[in-house]
Amino acid sequence: MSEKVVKKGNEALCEAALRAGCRFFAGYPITPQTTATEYLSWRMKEVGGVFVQAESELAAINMIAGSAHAGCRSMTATSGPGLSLMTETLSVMAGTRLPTVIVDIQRAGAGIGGIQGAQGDFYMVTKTLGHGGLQGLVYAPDTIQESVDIIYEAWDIAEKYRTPVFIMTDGTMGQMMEAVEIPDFKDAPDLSDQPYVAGKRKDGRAKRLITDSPWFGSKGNANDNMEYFYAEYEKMYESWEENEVRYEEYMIDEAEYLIIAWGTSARVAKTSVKHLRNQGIKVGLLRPITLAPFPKKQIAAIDKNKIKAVLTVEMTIPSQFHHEVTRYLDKDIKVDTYRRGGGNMVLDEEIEEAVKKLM
Amino acid sequence: MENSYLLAGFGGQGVQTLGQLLTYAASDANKFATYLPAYGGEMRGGTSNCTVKISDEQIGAPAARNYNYVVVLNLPSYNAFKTRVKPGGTLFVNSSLIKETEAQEGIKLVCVPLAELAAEAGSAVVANVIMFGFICAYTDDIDLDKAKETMLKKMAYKEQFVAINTKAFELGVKKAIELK
Repeated sequence: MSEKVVKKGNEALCEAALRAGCRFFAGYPITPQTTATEYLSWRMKEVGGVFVQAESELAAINMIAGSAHAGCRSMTATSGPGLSLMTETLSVMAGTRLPTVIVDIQRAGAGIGGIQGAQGDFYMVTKTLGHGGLQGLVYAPDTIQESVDIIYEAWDIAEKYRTPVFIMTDGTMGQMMEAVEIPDFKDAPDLSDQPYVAGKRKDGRAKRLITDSPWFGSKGNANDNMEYFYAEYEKMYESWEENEVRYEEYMIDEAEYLIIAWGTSARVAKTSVKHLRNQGIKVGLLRPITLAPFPKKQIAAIDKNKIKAVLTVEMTIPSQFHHEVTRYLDKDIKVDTYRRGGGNMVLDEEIEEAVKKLM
Repeated sequence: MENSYLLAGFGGQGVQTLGQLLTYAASDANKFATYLPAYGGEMRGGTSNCTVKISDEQIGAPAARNYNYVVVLNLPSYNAFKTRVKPGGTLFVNSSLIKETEAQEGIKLVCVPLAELAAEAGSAVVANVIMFGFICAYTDDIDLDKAKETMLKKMAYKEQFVAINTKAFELGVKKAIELK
């Protein structure tokens, strides 16, 4: 039986991960992720899993790579500065096509930056995992419930495509509390026969060698093999755009103005949409739930004959998400952006004022 | 119907627990609620605040520019947040620590002598439970019986804490009815 509880975002997310079958977590505390690590430090052993407070994020990400190679559903959680340290192994994971789950509870700024929630890791996570140009799937929930629902199926998706899966929240979603339905425990599948899991196959034969740089194959030399396999990976990424794009349309009936935002910015914008609709202003919200694959077609399909103007909203300066949206948006549609930086949360009143300026 | 709360005091006065109690109670009463703590380099004696929203519908923004109800339990919080009340809203001040207040047009000022009530309850530790009872009774946002039930579930999981928390809650309710 699923249960309704009032929980902190980080804690609800971690509980749902355990119920999805995650039995290995390695991480290093960093605000605003710390409550996730703290929760799993005692909760993981109750479900028979292993929790490691690693000596650094570098060690943590390598530990979860090792655990995934042992056939265990594994995850780590961190924030921007920790994610920077993890990029070498993220690149390796994308290359070996290793199914793992990484949660980025974003905070503000570059370097040490600030500890308040922000959305500045957009480019870093959605464009490529570390060096080499390979990708993962990236989900961006806007409520604690949605983050729970997404992580509950995250390993199923990661294993289906053999890919790292990212979940991006932020300090606001991590620290806040709201009621959430936590699903039942489910069993992780037996992954021992998977090619990336160490050991022999069930029939006793040796497994194919898995490396981050697939040099071995039928294409003659290492370069040609890597070229071939990466082109195959690209086909998989393109298939995601057909099959894995998720987005939400909120109050878009007869909308003349459209806000496009993700994560916390989007949930705040929902309040703005309600307020503006009450004032007779026909505004709606388009919210990408997957950031990679990005809902390009849905943005390109926004009709200039119906939508007078678009406002993007994000919590980072310089713009990132805004530029991604305008790449696909019809150039004849008037567009502006409203942003807050430095860890300041965007407020519904501010978004409302920005929409009115577009009118 | 959506109500927003900003709760502030010094670290140790229990405003985070107060915010969480409101959120738990609203949720137990089948309403939607969000709690968002201000976090950072906090310290005992420093300022602490959080925001709560309670609604009949799914809640978007967990914070706001101004609030229906602002609750300030110490002077620095009064100075910082007295202007953050929505027109027609209410400012609750802990008049035991905030001696001088100024009237603001269109905003109701309610003075709660929290230290005196806590002395009556028998402990300064239950001041936030007094305030919880006070807020629930004053705003009618949460059914009082439900609120009390939730409070006891969260604050009095040991038998020895039941009596004092019940007394604190009821003192708050009584004062709110008196001042309303």
